[in-house]
Amino acid sequence: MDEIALLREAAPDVAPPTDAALRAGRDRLTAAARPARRWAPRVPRPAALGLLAGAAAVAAAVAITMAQVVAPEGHGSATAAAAEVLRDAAATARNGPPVKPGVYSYIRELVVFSGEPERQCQETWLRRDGSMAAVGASSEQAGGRCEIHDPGHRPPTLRGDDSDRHPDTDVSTLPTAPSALRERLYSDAAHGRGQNPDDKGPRDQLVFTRIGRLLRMPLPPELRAALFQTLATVPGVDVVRDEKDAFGRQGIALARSFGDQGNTARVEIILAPGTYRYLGMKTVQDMGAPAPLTRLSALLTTAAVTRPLQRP
Amino acid sequence: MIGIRARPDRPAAAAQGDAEPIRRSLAEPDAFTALHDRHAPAIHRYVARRLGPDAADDLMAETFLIAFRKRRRYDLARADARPWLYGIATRLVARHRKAETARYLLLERLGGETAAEPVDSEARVSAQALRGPLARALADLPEIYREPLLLVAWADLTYEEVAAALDVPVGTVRSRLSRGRARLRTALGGADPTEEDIDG
Repeated sequence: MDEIALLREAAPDVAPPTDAALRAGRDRLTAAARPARRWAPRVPRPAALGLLAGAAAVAAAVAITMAQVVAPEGHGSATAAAAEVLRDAAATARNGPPVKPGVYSYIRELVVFSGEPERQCQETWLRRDGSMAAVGASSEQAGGRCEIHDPGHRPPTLRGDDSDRHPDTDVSTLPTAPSALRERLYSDAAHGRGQNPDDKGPRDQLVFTRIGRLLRMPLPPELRAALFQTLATVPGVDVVRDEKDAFGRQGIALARSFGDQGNTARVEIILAPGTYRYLGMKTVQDMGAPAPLTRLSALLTTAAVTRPLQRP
Repeated sequence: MIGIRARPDRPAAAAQGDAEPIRRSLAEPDAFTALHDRHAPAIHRYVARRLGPDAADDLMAETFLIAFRKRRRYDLARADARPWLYGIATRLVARHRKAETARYLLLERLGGETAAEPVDSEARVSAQALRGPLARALADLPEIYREPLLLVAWADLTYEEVAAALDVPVGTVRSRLSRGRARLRTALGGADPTEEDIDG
């Protein structure tokens, strides 16, 4: 068989673009065809403010599972070592400064893939239910600076159709008592609330994922503390010391492996030792390639905004 | 013989008449949307095969934005704009070349950064289709060989169209395809590439 025929046969069977994607692409084209309609000028945030906001934030791994875990869900807990770290993290978070959650949360991160010298800046807007409203990427400038107005890369685009599908999962309605919060998160996971449409997998994983997304948003201290406490009750969560984020900052990580033949991914939430502020996350996936593939990130900025695509 | 084959899936309207909306768009920019409506799904499919469905949404839109900005440079003597559009899309994909299809997709999804579209099954399919020795061989293939191979195999372009897309002579396309195939063959454990290096 000739190689081109072989390639043709191996061509991934991809779905056609969604109507929403086609509409979004067409809208961008129409907007470009109308030079009179300009985007509102974007005011860059001073670096110091960005760092302050970053320091206030704790975020976590967001993981999608495609595998089923056999162990009964919702039973058991994190390892004793992880639970100890999370107890300390909760106590520290509880004394954090008051934060008012916004309608949307803006997150800017530095991202690096294994074996690639180039780092990316990634911007994400989360809805108040913790699902993703928009995402975009641009190239990194010297020293971790992000050229967010770089027109050539992947400009942020809206995801999903409606802006607020689950107002009932607004973070401001989440209980701050750990047991009530745990019950609520597992119940939400069972009913598909507070998830991205394609989040699938066992409830333990959905809860882990959801907590990861929530921790990444600006949150009231008592809720952040409760999320750490809940994380300590999710089976399979372990602690990894001496981890580094995409900036090379030393941290302590909370890790969870999918532990399935079909999905060997391991996701780590990297926190600063002592302060437990979020530093970054690490995903390791062994796909049978010569070396496992790694995605490593570092948080640059997080802030509350009032609409998607708005920058603080 | 691999250069010529029937392509029943090519829209009849696309093979002709792309120059017309481009020409009109010089005076009426909105006319360019006709080109988007005609070719966006095919461009999306090509990019999705290489980078996954999420990146495809963005790069599809970007391809037409860039084409729109450069429309004055389009050779209106060419009725079919596909080579031009695939050329733009290929250069955009090249910016992501370090993020190889499967790992880009899986890793990014596992990172949760592209997880807002209902694309789970597609992601799995592309990841699976690109696993194994062929995926590795493709990943190891230098871009100058991979691009013409995939434009022929996954975008259904002829050699002449690949030449137009990549802006190189058709002879160069032939030799790159030939070398690319030979490298794949070797990587897949086939015959010594030097034996069959002259191919069309």
